[in-house]
Amino acid sequence: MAEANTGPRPADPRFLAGLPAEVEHWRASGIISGEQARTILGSYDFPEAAEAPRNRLVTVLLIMGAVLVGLGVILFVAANWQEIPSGVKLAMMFIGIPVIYGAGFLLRYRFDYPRVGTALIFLGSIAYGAAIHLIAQTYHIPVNHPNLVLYWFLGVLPLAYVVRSQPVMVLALVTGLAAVGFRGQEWLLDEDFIPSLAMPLYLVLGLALFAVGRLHESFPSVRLFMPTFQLMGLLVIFGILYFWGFGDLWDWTDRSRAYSGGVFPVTLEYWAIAAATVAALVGVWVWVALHARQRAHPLSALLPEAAPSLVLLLFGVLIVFLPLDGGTVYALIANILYGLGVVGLAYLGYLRGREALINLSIGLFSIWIFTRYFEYSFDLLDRSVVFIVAGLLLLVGGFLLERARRRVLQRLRQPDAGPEAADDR
Amino acid sequence: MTAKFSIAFWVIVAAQLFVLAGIVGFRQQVLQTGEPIVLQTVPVDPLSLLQGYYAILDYEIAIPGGIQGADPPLTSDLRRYPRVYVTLERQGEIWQATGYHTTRPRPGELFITGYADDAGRLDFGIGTYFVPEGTGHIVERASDVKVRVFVDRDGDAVIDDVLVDGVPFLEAVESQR
Repeated sequence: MAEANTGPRPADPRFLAGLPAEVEHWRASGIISGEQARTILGSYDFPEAAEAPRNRLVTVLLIMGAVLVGLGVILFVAANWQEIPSGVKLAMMFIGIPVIYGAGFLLRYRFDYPRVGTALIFLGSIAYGAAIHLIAQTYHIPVNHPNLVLYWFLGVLPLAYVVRSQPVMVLALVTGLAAVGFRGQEWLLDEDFIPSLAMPLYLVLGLALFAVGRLHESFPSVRLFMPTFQLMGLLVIFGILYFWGFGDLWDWTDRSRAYSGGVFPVTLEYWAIAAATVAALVGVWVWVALHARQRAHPLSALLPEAAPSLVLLLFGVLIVFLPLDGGTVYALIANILYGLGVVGLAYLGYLRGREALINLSIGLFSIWIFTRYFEYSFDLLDRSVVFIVAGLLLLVGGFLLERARRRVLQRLRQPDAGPEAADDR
Repeated sequence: MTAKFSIAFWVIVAAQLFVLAGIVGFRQQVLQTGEPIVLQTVPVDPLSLLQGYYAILDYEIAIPGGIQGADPPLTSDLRRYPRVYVTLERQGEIWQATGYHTTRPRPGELFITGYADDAGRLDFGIGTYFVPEGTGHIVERASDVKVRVFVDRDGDAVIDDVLVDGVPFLEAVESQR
């Protein structure tokens, strides 16, 4: 039992919340001795875990507080209040930002208030972005200047890694995606069709974020950012598929193509960024395959995540290079991929034991089905057939998943079941 | 917490402040050392979520239709050119364009650097003027709006003030209270 010598380790708080009662039941039933019960409980970072729900509440409240104060600062900037001269406002920013960061730093690392400290560092990150826009306002730098949000992103991203804060990382990723959008204005040659032109690039970025999340999983020091990257990537990917599922969108895109002589109307920079992102995406998945634990079957580590990524990537390439008359075929494909993606996401959550992915898939499914129910003006009879068939497919899928779960549990309960059985999941 | 960590944290905070100071410094340098000029504009009044109310300033020298005085001659699609230098000359109280160039004008000539936008007009980076909340109508309803701008040796421009019917904007705001 090498694990016993590694000291208390963290685990899923919900698992640990029920563990003491379960261990006591095992001890009372004679399954384990009192010594073994103590060893099991002692092998987890239990006091912290027991406080997890309360800590999570504190964290949520503090981050919400930081967001509200940050929004207040941004609105203060936006109001352009003239009672305080611009110079004084700038001075307040230059003093205020290090003071907020300093307070956060001391509270988190010196006085053992990690959550309050993190919230203040997060607030400092928002204040930094507000300061950039205050300066832009003071010097009348155009609102759509491509570098403003880029500066925000570049300032916050390294901070997220240094302080290991998920809220700061979320801010960094959001500003990073926004920075691409602002810069992207220069890469899209047909301003009437900016949303439809930008989407293929964002699809690739979403796939890259998801893959980079998987890469983070391979490094213990940054593993905590894996869900942040993957969640952000998934939201982008499903967001794009959701919009591509609207038939009307393709009318715009078709007109755009006709306007530009059949060529996707973007600049060389667009292609360069897209190509670099695709290269990074492929590189990450190859790296993951080569460093997979199951070295004998590197592809098996790739299939659940990289294969759907490849399909989506090919869909994006198809849209860019093969304009279709009418485009409703693409709307249909987008809807099919969205539906398959939702089921696949639930399966991935099941496969990796990540409930968050299953919850996300339910949320995405609800939004999608609600939208499509009202969007398409099929006859009621046609619509009923589509919904019944789709519903039956999901019921069958759910049955298969449930049966697989039962088999895994049965195998685990067998006396000679070892860690291999658990790994089969 | 290690010393290395502390250093990394404070280096990032310092870098953020350096970026802020850099943006301020560049603009201040243009305001301190640049040449003041006045340009004729036509504004409208939208809202930025991050930066509040502002007026969009559309300049006469941004060549709305056809290009006159281009040397060498420019095509109508300005996006072909990475940047266009507009030489300026004072005519009365307004500075007017005397030529459009794809190469940098000779030293000593006053010029402003523009980049073509999607609409085929030149963007000089001075197309936005932020106003206090609830004062946008002053610019919108004015019959004549001019902009006082500082231009440096590289043609980079920074807005100094907006003249609403000949009156500096903040004075116009005060007079309406």
